[in-house]
Amino acid sequence: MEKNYLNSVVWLVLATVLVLLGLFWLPDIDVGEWTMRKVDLLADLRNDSVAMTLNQQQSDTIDEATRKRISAMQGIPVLEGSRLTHDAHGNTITLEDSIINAMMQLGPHSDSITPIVDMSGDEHGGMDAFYRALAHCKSRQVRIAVLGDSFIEGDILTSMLRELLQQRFGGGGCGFMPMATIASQVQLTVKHTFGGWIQHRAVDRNNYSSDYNNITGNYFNATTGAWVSLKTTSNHYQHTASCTKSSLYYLGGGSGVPATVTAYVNDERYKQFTLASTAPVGRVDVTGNINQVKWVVDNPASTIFLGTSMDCGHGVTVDNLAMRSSRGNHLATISPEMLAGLDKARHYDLIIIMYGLNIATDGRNNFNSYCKNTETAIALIKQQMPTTSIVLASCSDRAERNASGGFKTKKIVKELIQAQKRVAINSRIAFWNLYDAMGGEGSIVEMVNNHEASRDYTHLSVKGGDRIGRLLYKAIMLGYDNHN
Amino acid sequence: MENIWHNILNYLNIQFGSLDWTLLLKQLAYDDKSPLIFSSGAFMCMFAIFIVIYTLLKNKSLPRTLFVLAFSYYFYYKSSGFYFFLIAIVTCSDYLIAQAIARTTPRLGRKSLVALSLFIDLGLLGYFKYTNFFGQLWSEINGMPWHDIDIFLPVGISFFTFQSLSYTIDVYRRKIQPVDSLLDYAFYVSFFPQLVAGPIVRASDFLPQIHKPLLVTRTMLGHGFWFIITGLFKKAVISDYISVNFVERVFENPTQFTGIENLLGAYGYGMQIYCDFSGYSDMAIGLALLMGFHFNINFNNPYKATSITEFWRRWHISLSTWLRDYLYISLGGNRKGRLRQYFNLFVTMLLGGLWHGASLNFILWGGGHGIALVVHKMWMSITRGRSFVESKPWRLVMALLTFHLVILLWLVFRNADLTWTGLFLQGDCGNTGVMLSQIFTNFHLELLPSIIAAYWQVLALIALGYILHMIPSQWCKSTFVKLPAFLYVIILAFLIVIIIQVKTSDIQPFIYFQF
Repeated sequence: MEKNYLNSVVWLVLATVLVLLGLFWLPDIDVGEWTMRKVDLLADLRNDSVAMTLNQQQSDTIDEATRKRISAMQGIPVLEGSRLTHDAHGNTITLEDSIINAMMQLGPHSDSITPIVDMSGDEHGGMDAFYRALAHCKSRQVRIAVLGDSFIEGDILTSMLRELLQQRFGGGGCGFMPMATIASQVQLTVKHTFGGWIQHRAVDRNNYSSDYNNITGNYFNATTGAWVSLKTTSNHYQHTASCTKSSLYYLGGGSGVPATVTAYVNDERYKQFTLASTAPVGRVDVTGNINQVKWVVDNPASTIFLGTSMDCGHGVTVDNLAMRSSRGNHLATISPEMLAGLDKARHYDLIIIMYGLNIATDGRNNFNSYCKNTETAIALIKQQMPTTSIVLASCSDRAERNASGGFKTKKIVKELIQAQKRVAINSRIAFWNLYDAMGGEGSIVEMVNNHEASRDYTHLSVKGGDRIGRLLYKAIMLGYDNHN
Repeated sequence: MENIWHNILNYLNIQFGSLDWTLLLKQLAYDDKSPLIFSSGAFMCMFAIFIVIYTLLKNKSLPRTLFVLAFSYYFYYKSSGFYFFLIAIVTCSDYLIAQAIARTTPRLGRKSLVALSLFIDLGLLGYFKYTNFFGQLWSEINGMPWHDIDIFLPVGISFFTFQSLSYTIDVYRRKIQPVDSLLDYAFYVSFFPQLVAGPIVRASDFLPQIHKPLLVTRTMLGHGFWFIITGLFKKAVISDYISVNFVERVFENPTQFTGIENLLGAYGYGMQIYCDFSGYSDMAIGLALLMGFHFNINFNNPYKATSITEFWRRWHISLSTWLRDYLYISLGGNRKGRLRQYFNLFVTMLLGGLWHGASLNFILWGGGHGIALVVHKMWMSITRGRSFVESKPWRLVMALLTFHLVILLWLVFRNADLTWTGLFLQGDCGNTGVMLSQIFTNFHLELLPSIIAAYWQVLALIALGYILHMIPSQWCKSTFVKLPAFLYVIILAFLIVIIIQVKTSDIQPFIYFQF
């Protein structure tokens, strides 16, 4: 009879398990930018409390002045030299969480809505300016800019936010659009077509001059005959479809022959404009009952173009300023003149900063440079746009496959959110916990199952964007109603 | 005693960092979000414990059978909770029915008994899988509103009901004798390697193996590890990586991608579904070999096929032969004239499509394959005896044609957004239509270099998958068997390290349109 190798099976299987268990002690291996992931067969049995990890990192902390101010104001017990404290139930939590919790108790209340937490104290940059503007939206335009990455690209999330705000406060139009976008085909709110532009994006650093760096993260050179057209569509969002004003934005300051552009409204020639180059940011407008607007560059000269818009003279406008793979780094290096110029040409009452997916990447040990950049950017905006409210939105939930094949929220996402809370606290602006609003731990997995997110367990579908847009709207309304 | 235990745990705790042993209980319980799959660390640990006990019981047939049975039911509980009682129902009823069939001589009696078995098995399958589907269909036909009933779909129900049916039908056809022991039959139906995702093992192949002395030969050992390693590679490296990082994104949002990306996505899906499905089958075959059981091969390089008929001899063989033996032949096969044969072929494939899932896309997919098979049968009767059909260039052309037909039908298979009214009244072909229109009207070949630059890892894996598919694997397999056994451990551990490295990646950049 043939030899039986059943015992070998046992030894081989056990040896494999032992080898894999042993690999846990392998030191971290880095090859260039790539870091080897830890082999951890027992990952499912590991309790990964973010608070514990954060306490081991000594580098980034809340600055001492803020700490004292908040500690005195809220009576939060701060353990000396530690980043941790306790909540009412005696659980260990981070200082950031305890501050946000305390602020939330002071602010607007609701069990089902994740509120916007205003940490400005009496300073500007908090939500006050925005809520006051909103109260006067019958007579003036109230503008919101949402700055973000691929998470909101294609007007995901912002389209529903805009529609709901316009339902309640009036107004119309899709807001600002860059001359050209990668995601034009997924725009549900407006039909955006274009041609003849040379695009420069802040994420392609070699191809992007800091002289023209602006809040949109894009600028364009035009070829003769370059054109852009926006056409309303009422299939999904009815209010957005009405528009009475369109503008074209460009950068001034150049010398020589000024550029000329011709505007066409509803397929009829409207007027030719000569683009004056006096202000840092220039703008020309067309008005009327606009279904379609088309801008054609007759003579580009050396003018730098930014984009066009569809607005109403009153009510709320929401601009989606999304840029794939962005971390929002470009915001920190915009020149003060450019920011002030933008504020003049297209004033924002509220700026929502919503980055995170490209920051919470594997192998990152700390968020020091992210925090520094964002704090610089916020300080700049506060300085040059003194009547603008600022909300820092947290990173969204994002999952990765774990060793047992299921999907689980990435730990680094939770760590980033702690850092983002710290930025909001230090910068004294408002904070919205997008991650909590989505449903916290594992919510993206749930959303994928409900067809609300894509199977990369990162990006939203239109349906999911609508849901989160509604949640953001509710958060804003909770604060607004409370403010009145 | 408690103290010692505590010390051991404490020591392990220090050694392994922040282990929380209370999580172990949670891991062992049913969680609908994390079923136990072969490519997981949890399964690996459990199998290690399982195989130790299994080997200790190697000379004790009854305890061993009971032990495997208990483990199999636990395995099923991990995937579907308490629905393991369905397996017990199918097992007991078919066991009793088969015994009754063997004792009955009148034709009518035998017929009604086998009908009862069909009624129970297909009834369960129908209730759990197709209630809402037929409800919706009915409401679309007569306009009555239908509200979906919340029915849990027990994992693998399509597999174990078909498997059990093969037994009662074979007993009815007098091909096999019924088993004496209920335990043996329960062991066969619930055997965990093939329980939830096939292959569909025939009773006539499996039952005789139960009472043979438990033997794992050196070749079985080598083949077992070979199948587990290749299966893991296919499932956890190729399929998982390309799906999350490319294919799923294209299928979720085809308009966001150019025609060429849609085409690459379609090729990628062809590789993904093959690697996913055949990889899992391979692992099942490998695990069974390590336990001393032989399963038949389930996939045989299907994309090498030079005709759609050949494709079905190479793809999911255990299902296609099941459908042939128990459905096609029952319908009359090719014994009732040519027209009837075409009809039988078409109906078999249509139902085969429906077997994959209760929705329109699967029916269209099955129907599409049915039509293709019928057309090929006609073509064969025209070209019979012609020499050109055997020439190399011709066979190459036919292989490419077959491959693209299969890929086209995969688009139908994967895009589940079709509705009856949308398709038949409004001509809305859903995402399949969108993808085809992107491929044919928005191709943008000029973007190929930047697409390759951005997605080179994904595309390289897809290409590797197809290359491995084309080269003969027999040589690799026989060389692998000859390697010293400790190398199996090293190769397997190395592969698992790789799997952990690729399990997710960072956000891949999308391709930029150039203006």
